[in-house]
Amino acid sequence: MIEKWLSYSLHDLLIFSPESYYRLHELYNLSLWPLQVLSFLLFCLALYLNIKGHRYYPKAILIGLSLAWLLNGFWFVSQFYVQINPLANTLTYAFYLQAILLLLMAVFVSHAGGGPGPSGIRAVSGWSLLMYAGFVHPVALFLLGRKFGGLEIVGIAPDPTALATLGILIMLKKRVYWLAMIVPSLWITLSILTYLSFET
Amino acid sequence: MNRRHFLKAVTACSTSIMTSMAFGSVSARPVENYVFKAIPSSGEKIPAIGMGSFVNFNFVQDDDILKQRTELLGQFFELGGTLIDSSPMYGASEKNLGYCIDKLKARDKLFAASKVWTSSVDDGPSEIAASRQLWRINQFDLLQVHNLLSWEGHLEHLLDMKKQGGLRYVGVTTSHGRRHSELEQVMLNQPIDFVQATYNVIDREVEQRLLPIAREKGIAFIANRPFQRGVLIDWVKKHPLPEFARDLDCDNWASLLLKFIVSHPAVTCAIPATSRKDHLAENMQTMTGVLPDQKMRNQIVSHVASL
Repeated sequence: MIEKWLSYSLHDLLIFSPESYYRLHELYNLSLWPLQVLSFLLFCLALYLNIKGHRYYPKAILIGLSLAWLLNGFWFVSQFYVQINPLANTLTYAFYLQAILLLLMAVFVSHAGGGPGPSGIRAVSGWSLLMYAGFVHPVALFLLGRKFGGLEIVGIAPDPTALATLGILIMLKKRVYWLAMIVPSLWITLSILTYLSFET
Repeated sequence: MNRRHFLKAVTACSTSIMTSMAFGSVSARPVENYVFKAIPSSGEKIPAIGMGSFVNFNFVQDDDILKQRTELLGQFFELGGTLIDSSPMYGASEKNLGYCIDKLKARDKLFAASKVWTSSVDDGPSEIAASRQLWRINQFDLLQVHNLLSWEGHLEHLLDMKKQGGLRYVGVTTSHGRRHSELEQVMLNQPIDFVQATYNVIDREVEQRLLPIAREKGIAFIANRPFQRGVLIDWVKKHPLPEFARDLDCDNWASLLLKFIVSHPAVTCAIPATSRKDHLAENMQTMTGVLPDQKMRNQIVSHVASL
């Protein structure tokens, strides 16, 4: 499968129009409504638990993220995105792998993983990513002309979910969490390339 | 000429007559002035402008868009078009085309061209069967090996399909100027009916070898990326249409650029893709009026190069 794609340039790989991609998000949101509201509220709760340094926060947030990646893989990628991008079949497995990885980390994380959050560059970068993913990203899309029904909500859409995952993992303490940053980083790279291709 | 060919020819003629009545400015000229080109291996004539489906038909199942694209395809057939080209690579394009064609009940007007696109030769037949189901047709008119992917095995199967009567024409494709030397060898050594490659006023590499070989070997040539996927047409549209375009009965850039392509004697058909009815009308205008001779073709190249 992959070898078929290697003979194409980045621009060739984009086999859908921006309009199709934005409409896909609208239809995807419609299929899940009003889960977006619940997801946003859970995100706000996670931020609160993070600030408080709650002892169950690491385990809870890792389980929550795992469920979000499972939803994105099963519903967004394999039911919607795959319709306009045959390459998405492969992506589904990456999303499932990410969900399993986060779940395993939740299982093995200590209950005493809470406490005061990080400081310095980790805190600044982590909180910046979280704020952008949860609050700025949907507003930015709206200001750029995306319809309200096509806005991307953290936990529901892959871009803000990947950004929030990175933000949260940066602020958690164990080094092993870097392993769970690979798939989100790859997705964000792919997403940036998609938007760049829209512009060419 | 078998029954299927005859029906297609009659349909094409009646479609053109209806078009003349319905779209005065686009097709006021007599039907006989429409640009039809012969497929060398059979002599069957097809309209010189077809429809690509690379991006314009790749969208998530959506009633509003399906309705608009159905109307678009309806206009394409009314304006005399028949050949529609797609591929399993194009996401949901085959599925959406199948819906529109079924809705229009336009199977008899259609010249269905798709591709086999899998590195596994064993998977080829099942992919073709899946494509046929998505298109909602009994058989394809033309199947091509997409981008020369595992072409030896696929070509053997397609030629066998043709021999068995399950396919009318066999072809091979490439795009973006890639793998031309390999394509050349296929054209020289394999009994193919069609070849598809990129050709437009800027990308003219095929004029050196592939188009002369197509002419010499009697292979129909489909020109893909006639507008460089929109980049070329968007660029030239920033400039006024040259005066000499009027001499070619062109009042828009799209038909001028397409007339350059289909006026090459070895080119059988160009397949611009669009999702807009006004752009489709401009594309189809190519099939009316006069085609440029070599002198005017040179003039078009020089003018575009000077922009």
